[in-house]
Amino acid sequence: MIKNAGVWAGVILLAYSAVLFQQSLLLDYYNPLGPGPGFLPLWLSGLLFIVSLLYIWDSIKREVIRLAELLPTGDARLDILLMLTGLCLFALLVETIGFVAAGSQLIFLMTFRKFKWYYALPTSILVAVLLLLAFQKLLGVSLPVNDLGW
Amino acid sequence: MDSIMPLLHGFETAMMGWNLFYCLLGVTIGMLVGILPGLGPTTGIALLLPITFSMPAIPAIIMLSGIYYGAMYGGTVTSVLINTPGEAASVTTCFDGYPMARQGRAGTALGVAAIGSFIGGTVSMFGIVFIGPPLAQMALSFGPPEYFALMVVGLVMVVGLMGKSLLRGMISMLIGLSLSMVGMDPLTGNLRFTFGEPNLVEGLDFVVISMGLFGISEVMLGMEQAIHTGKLPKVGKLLPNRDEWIPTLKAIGRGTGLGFLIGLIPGSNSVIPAILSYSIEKKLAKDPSRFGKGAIEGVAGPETANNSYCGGALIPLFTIGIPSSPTIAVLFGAFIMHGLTPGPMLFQTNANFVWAVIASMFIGNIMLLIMNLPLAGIWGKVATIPSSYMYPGIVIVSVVGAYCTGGRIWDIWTMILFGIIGYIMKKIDIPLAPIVLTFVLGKMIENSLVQSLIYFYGSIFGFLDRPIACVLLVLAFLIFSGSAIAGIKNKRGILANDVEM
Repeated sequence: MIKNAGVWAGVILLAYSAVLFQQSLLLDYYNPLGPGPGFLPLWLSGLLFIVSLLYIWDSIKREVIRLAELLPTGDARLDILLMLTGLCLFALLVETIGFVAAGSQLIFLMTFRKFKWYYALPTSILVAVLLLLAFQKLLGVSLPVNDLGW
Repeated sequence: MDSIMPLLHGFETAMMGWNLFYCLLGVTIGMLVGILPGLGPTTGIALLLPITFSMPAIPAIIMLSGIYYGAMYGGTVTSVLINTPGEAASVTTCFDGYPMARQGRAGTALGVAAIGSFIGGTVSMFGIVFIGPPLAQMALSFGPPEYFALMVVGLVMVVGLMGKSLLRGMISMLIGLSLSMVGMDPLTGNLRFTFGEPNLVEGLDFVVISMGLFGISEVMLGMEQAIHTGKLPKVGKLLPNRDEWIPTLKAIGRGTGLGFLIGLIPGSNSVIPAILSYSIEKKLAKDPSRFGKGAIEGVAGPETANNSYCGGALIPLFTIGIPSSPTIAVLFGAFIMHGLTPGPMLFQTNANFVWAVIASMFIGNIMLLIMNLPLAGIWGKVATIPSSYMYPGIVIVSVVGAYCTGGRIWDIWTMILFGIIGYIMKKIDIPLAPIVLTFVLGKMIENSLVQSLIYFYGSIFGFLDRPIACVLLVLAFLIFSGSAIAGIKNKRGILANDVEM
């Protein structure tokens, strides 16, 4: 059961619905006008709780999905990890180092395994610069930049 | 006939320089989105939505709609040439399109698909022109109980038809509804599920969630499923033989009607008319054994049906303001973003906008016919570009898009989170479509339910006094029960696909 992905997903859903249920209880179920802000959330979270239990039962009895099937393997695992790392670094750094540097690292992390680094790096920088120009100059949408303006 | 003059005015607006350019841009991007496996119209529209922030509403929606129906044309190319459907609705085209290509008739398959798509798409536009305004007029008499019942039918259809099981569909639906409750309650101003986080006061952003669920998760899945394309077959002659014209045109006619009617049903998707059209053509054929070996009707019917569906599916959006599928839900989001409220009043308050968008779809279909008939071979070459080359571009555009929605880093984190959630949900066979639909409809459902209950003095049985609402709720109950019984008997079958359309 510990290696059953469905059970894990069901438990997470169960916890999610329990939190929502508890939060819904803090809201008015009914007010003088009619149903209050807690009315629908309470029913929804209660229903989700029941459905999550049924899902756990279904995952054990009928549709067993092993945890190993859920996780990527081989090259894909590294590709996905690099992408997620790049995304997190982007979100953490973009307001400090600017869009061009943060965007370049993201693209570079996603391309350096497929192309030689001396192709991947300038291409990444070029794409980031072009995107910045396209959004700021052509589309009038401002992106986060550093003190130097990029 | 009252629709003719406004439509002509719509053409006048749609033919203006920049509008025409954005129409061409939209259908071209739609073709690309359709051709590239793993990238569907929902992702395409969600990714490009932030680009339209600074644009006026008419060109923005013209472009985004172009992506929607353009993708239907694009998906055919890869189905015929490399036996890989570019988008879900073209799955059936592989059955006979690819065998035709192997017989040296790729051009004929693509040609027939383009002609059928054009006829289906154009006829369904006439459907919007003539059915839309009277339906919108009728919808004006709908009150909150009728709207609530209509949305329940739509949700039950989505949950009942999509995904591997009713249980999984319900999980997805409830997650979407619960996410829509985050933020300030519109009726009382109370904060719900914000946990003291100021970024959650205005709720979660629909565009950000869509980009995560459809864009980032698709890239993650695509990285696991590398598609290798071999040598492309020769395209060759585009038109069918003389003796094939009559069966082809009959299949196109049936596909047009079928696709349009199914498009009107909230909660349906473009795979349903395509599959139904294929089975009808096979049943009606004098020699059904030809199917699967290169029967031309097997390409003409489904391809027509999925394009005709597109027009039909826009009718609920334009007339009653209810999105019937995830792609339409993203379009719905685009309407809201540009200050437009889809629904019966749209034809009255923003007539110029509505007719310009409808007219642009006629023009877009002509553009797509030209792109597909003489240029089929060029699009085929695009299909050979490995998807992995596109992923860095998709990811960086998604990041920029997420940031642009609110100018907050918070939205990038939200997108990453929903990307991972979407990836896991796809792996454990929980459909994504109901999340997006219920998220969009969540607040509307709650408002209409609460208003109805206030109107009925808190009694749920008040719905029984409203004939339309009552019939719709009974219908929803029957669909739900039917789906539950089919699930217990394991007979959900071919329609049990989670698709984007």
